[in-house]
Amino acid sequence: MNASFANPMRISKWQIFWLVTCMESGMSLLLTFQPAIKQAHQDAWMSLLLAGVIGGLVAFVSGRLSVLYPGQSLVTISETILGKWLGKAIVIPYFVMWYSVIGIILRQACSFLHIALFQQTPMWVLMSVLSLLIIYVTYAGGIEAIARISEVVGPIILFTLLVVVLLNLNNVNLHNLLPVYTDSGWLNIVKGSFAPASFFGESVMLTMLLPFLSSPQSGIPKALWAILISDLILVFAMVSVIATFSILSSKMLYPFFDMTRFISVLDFIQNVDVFVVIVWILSVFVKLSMYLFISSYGTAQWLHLKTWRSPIWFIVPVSFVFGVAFRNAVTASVDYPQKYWIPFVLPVNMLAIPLLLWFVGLLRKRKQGTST
Amino acid sequence: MVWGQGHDLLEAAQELQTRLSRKIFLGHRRAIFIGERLAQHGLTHILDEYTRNPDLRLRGDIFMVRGGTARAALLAPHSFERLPALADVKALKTTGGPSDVTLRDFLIAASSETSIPTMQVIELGGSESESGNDDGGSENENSAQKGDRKIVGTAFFDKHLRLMGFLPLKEAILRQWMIGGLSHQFVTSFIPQGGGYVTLDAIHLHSSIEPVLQGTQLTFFVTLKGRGTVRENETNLDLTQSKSLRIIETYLNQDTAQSAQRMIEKMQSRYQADIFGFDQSVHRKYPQAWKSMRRNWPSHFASARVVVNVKLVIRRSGLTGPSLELQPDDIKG
Repeated sequence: MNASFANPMRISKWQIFWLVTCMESGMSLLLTFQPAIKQAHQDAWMSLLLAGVIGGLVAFVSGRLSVLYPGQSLVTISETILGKWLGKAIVIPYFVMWYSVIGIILRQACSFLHIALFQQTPMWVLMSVLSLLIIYVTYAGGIEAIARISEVVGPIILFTLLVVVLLNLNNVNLHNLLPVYTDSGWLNIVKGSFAPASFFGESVMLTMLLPFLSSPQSGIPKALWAILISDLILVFAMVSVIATFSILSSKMLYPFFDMTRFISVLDFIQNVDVFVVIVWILSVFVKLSMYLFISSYGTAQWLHLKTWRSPIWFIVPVSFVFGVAFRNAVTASVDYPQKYWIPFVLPVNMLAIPLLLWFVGLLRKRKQGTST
Repeated sequence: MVWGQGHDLLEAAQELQTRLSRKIFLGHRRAIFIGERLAQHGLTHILDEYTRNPDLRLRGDIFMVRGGTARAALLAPHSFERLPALADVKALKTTGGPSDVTLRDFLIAASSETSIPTMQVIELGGSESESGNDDGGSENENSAQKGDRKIVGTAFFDKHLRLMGFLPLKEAILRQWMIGGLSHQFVTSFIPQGGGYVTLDAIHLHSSIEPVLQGTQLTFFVTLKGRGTVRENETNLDLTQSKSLRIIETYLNQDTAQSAQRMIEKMQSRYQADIFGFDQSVHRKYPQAWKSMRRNWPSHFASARVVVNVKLVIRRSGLTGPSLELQPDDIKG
């Protein structure tokens, strides 16, 4: 149960909504547009819709798994379902995923900040400051604090993105979205959805978050709504990007960012990218804190530690070193997703393992039901 | 003015920095000027920085200097612009052109397989300009005109980004109307029945390019629309009579359609250069057929039939009916 540690934390179902929204809208905008457009060209918005469906599927399965064993997190559920050794083993891919992704997000975020705003500041300084911030939030407040932050930050993110897309309207030429489908075909659209799906699929962390709800069941519809709304905003943004830049967008690394820099309304409202960077930092902050919390909490459960806070001091240095170890922006932003996140984490951590656990869990419950 | 030299733009910028006491802030760039000689040589090795360098925005204009160098364009003083280069940026905007987005449009066309990249062309006044190369119907242009610089038309480039030809101003404006991006224009025609010229200040300028593919015969139906106010009437027609307005509309439409038709046919026969976005219209309407047509687009473009229809509507005729200086007997209608 959640009460395996002293002072159980509680979050509300609306906080689940905002937690998922924060995570999905921020980084996906920056990092998934280029791979999607590269594959599907002007149909990349369809890839985004498909990715949202996949993400919703992951959220649904994760949610149902949590409902089977209310109050239990992924770490304890797997031990309950598969026994001590197999249960512990099957969670190891998640630790690899969480520990590495914290380092990668730190690296990508600070790399982008370095390019966009702080060219004179060494990157390790940016990473250290961000690390200290997330340590503070996670240590002092836990998931409750992170959830409250997302309730404030989430609306800011959505509102800013909406305004940005509206301000860009005078650059938009919807003809650039034509012809629909014929140039790409279903295979390319599906391939284009892998990158955004791997981001939407981070909703697998619901298996670690729903135990903190008093009624885990109520969290599922909220999470699905969050994915839907984030996906729609992303689709609007994608349509906006393609309509503005046409074929150029497939060659840009950060097309949404370039689009915000292109905005000019009445020759006066310009350089809107500053707001987008702020929104993006907020989203990164929420995501990092969340990953730090669940990896710390999960590690503590896995090792049967007394308090969930102690692993923080281990995780942050390890992730930090992992993040710094990458040589340049290409290896961090391209190799990690292409060689690990998309081919492994998406099918295994996000889809296969939750489906497996859910299936086996259902069987066990049925067996228990008939035997009693 | 300061300048620098180098093998690529940033090497030159670094040399330039040695002459400046303040750090260069690339975000201030509003316009890029290309001299005609460089345009003829080709632009493929100078454009990367404008999109790669994170300091820059893509927003901005790109101009070619006809019969001159970019350096001369930056140096030539302007009567009332302290920064002479801004004169072109502002002139482009006030004449209704696609202001601030021409660099992006150039890059989009350049990276497309079939589109022809274009940019606006300026000419310097006074003694700075030599008589430029005549490669496209510039009989009406006086290239050694005294006075300030001016926008003189549109240049178009081949796939290697070498200057291919030049479209003079009247045609360049018509073309801009066809591809979208023209916000207003004065359309002037001679009205035989009235014995004079009439000018319509046209706004809400729209165009549609409809391709029709029948077998192997490709036909483009181009419709140009607009509406506006008659601001000048040098005929003896009474503009309070709707009959007169219809006469004027007919001639405006006919004239404009003929000019557009001639322009398109010239591009078809002389250059086989599709600067009108016909390729994109086919791509969008017939995506399957496009897959084979794109490979040989210049010849498809050259052999296509084009029908131009202009629908200008006079909404208002200003403050007077007939011209005030006419005798009552001379007023027609």
